[in-house]
Amino acid sequence: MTHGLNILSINGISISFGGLKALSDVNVHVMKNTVHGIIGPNGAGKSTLFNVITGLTKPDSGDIFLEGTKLPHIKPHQLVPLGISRTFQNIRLFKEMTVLDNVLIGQHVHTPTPIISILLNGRKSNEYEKISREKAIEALEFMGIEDKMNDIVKNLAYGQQRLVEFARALAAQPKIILLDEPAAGMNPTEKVNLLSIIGKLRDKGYTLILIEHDMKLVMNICDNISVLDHGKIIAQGQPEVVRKNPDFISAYLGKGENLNARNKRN
Amino acid sequence: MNKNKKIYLLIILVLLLTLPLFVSNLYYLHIINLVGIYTLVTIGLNILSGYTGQTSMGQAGFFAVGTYVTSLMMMNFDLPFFLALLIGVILTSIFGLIISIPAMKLSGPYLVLATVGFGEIVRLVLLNWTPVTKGAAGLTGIPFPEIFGLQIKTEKQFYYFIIIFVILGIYIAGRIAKSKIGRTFSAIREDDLAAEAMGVNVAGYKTAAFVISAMFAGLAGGLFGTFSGVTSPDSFTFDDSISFLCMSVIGGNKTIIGAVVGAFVLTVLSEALRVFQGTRLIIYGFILIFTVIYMPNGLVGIIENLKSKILMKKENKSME
Repeated sequence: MTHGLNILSINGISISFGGLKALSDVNVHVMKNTVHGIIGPNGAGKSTLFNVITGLTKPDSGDIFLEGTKLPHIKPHQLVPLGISRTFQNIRLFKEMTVLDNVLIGQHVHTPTPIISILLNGRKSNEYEKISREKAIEALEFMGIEDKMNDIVKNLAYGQQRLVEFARALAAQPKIILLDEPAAGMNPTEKVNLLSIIGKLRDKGYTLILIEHDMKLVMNICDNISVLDHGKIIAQGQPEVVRKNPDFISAYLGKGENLNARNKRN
Repeated sequence: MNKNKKIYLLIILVLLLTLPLFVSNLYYLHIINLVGIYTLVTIGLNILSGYTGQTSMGQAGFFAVGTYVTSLMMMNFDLPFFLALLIGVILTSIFGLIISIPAMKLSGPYLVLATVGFGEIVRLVLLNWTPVTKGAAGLTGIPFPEIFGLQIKTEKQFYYFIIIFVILGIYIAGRIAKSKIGRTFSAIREDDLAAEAMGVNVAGYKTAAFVISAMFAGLAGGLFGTFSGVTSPDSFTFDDSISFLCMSVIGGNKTIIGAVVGAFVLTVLSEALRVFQGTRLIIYGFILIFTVIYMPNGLVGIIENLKSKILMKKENKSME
């Protein structure tokens, strides 16, 4: 693979919890400015892989390279300034806070904390706050939920909460956004909206990695797909290539079933 | 800040400054002074438990360190009050820093137990380190503070002395709460893993919350010692920690002003219930259960609710 296009390389990641091998020798190469799908049956190790990339889980072996530089084993919060940001499978928002405050936390690493100025209500702290708000509102506008910015998050519909989480990840000004099942719990209209948002972000130069169960969505939007099963990569490549891979068909869809049958069940 | 709010603030300020003119009863003034001191402790606790979600049942421990260090500095080394207070506050914050290390790995009931342990350790040290702390008898003859040759000793003088600290404390805590720091504290309370994933140094912020709350308790302690003139380990028991937590929760622990309301209501209540000494904690317990179930945002939350209801009614009327 050419190195210049390669933004994230996952090299030989292995991890086991007790006797269970959650990931074994996983290699994934994510190209810059693409949407990369990670799919696989439940328990295949997809979320574990996300946790390894974002530093929440330390792998037993293997390395991750971001734009050719090896990521050191640092705390998760130190990865955000390097340009990795994420959403969670089971939405993890700050529920009692407003939508705007949630997105402002996304900007945490890009907002200085001038303590003296904060205490004295100085101009510097107010200016930083104003810039952060503008950027946060920008992210909300991008998601099309700026009219909800003063609502308490827990009062929003599920699909909208997903968008808030997306906006929060975007506010961290990442190079790579990891989306853990972004379409889960969304209705068809919301899914169409999500597709267009993901497409627009790719056009803007972001790289997105997503875990998703909705095959239609994955096949539609992803430029590349990695298929995980029992902690191993069993197929990799463009959607058209992967969907014809016999390993993928038998592991993920079961033998004798076709994609459409799967979609109907969803 | 809009104009209305400024006018309200001015009225409150004038009322506060002229209060001793209306309250001639020294006993009442004494209670009000205590309210001021407890307010400071509760503000710190609100930042720690209300904002950051780190419940502490050992706040009396910090309060005690502040009291003893400040008092001993004045008594043994003849330091002026402000210098002694500064040392007291710094030392208390160091204790906050130390406690935050185990607190990093603990949460929920385990953290609560650790803070209870801290409070008890402090009390037992005060009780048994007799050469320094004078044991159960405690310290007597703690000097009065002096500013520019003027000795603060009457209740009225103490009122003005304490109120300056309280106003300053409310202002600083309010600034912290409204800033990025307060927002980050709240995020940690809501979901510390998500906060960490968004780039928040959760461990650092938790430590900061502990240090800030310890500073407030230490400051209050320094004032408490010189205000009371005498002090003993009896003033810093587990019951007192519970009292502080009650003030915080009943007043409303997600706002700074809730600390004032909580400290006022509970201090006055506890004086009113002085005759039923033994049953006091039982009554506290009932109020606490009632608060947690029916008004999770405390008395301040209720006032806010009423305000928004009245506003809605007004709007409805004007629409008609």
